[in-house]
Amino acid sequence: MERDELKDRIDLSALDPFSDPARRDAFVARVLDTGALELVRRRRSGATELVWNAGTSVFAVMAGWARPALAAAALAVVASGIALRAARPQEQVAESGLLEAMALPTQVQEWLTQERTPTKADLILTLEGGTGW
Amino acid sequence: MGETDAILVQRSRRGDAAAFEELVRRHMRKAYLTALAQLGDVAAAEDVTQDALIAALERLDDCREPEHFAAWLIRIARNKAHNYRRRERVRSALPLEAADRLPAASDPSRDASREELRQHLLAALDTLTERQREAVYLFEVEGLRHAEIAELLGLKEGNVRYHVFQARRALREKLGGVYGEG
Repeated sequence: MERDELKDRIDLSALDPFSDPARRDAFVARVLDTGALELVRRRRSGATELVWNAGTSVFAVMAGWARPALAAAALAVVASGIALRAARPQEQVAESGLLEAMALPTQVQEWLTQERTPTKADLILTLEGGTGW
Repeated sequence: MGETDAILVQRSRRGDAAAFEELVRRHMRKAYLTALAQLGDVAAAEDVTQDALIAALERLDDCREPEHFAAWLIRIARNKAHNYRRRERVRSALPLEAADRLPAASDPSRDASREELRQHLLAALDTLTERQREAVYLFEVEGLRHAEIAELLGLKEGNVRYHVFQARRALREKLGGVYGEG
């Protein structure tokens, strides 16, 4: 039925002021002119909203940086560890030179080098054995 | 096909004039025809349409279903027309008052015949119910399908089909002389 109705239209275009492009454009211009203040108000409140969003997003940005910052800190710790380990043999060399210069018994030098506290048995064995002391 | 109504509404809410203009161009005729169905007055319907569009802009945040902006706008236009009619009491003066308020003619003979036709149409349409006028306007002038009209007016498609059929039959009877039909 709709197809028949579409073929057999009743022309009501005389009641349509917007079929005239000039009149249609004039109407649109009038509406936009009347609504201009509201559009400006909306743009302004939209800008305020953007600023507010930017403010809130600072936290989001900071939160986003937390993980890389932690990763960087972990990397720094690892790098420091490697640097300390690399520096340690020189200290040991220096320490060992000093110990030799002090003419300490070999066993004592080992304890110092190993940073180990001698046990009672170590002390007795060293003293009884007379290892260079 | 350009942007959807939902996107245009979203942009208009942020004060995007181009988006609002597109909404106006897309749906002003629907709002106008709704107003005309109530008022039977071309100039008054135009005024009401403008009011409805501005009201829609001001209340855009209340449009809960932006994808159905047209239906929402039509409800606003209908309310505006209702208020206008109550305030101005124009209905009793139709359709001749409508003819008096039309813009000045640029081509007197052509516009006179167009005006005569308009009077015939308005007189014939005045015999229909408001629902029938809405349906037949949207069908004949805006070129919408029954299903589209049903969605806009919040009616069942079968009801729209019935209104359009009844309206067209009545109009053909009234306008037979004008269109050379009987």
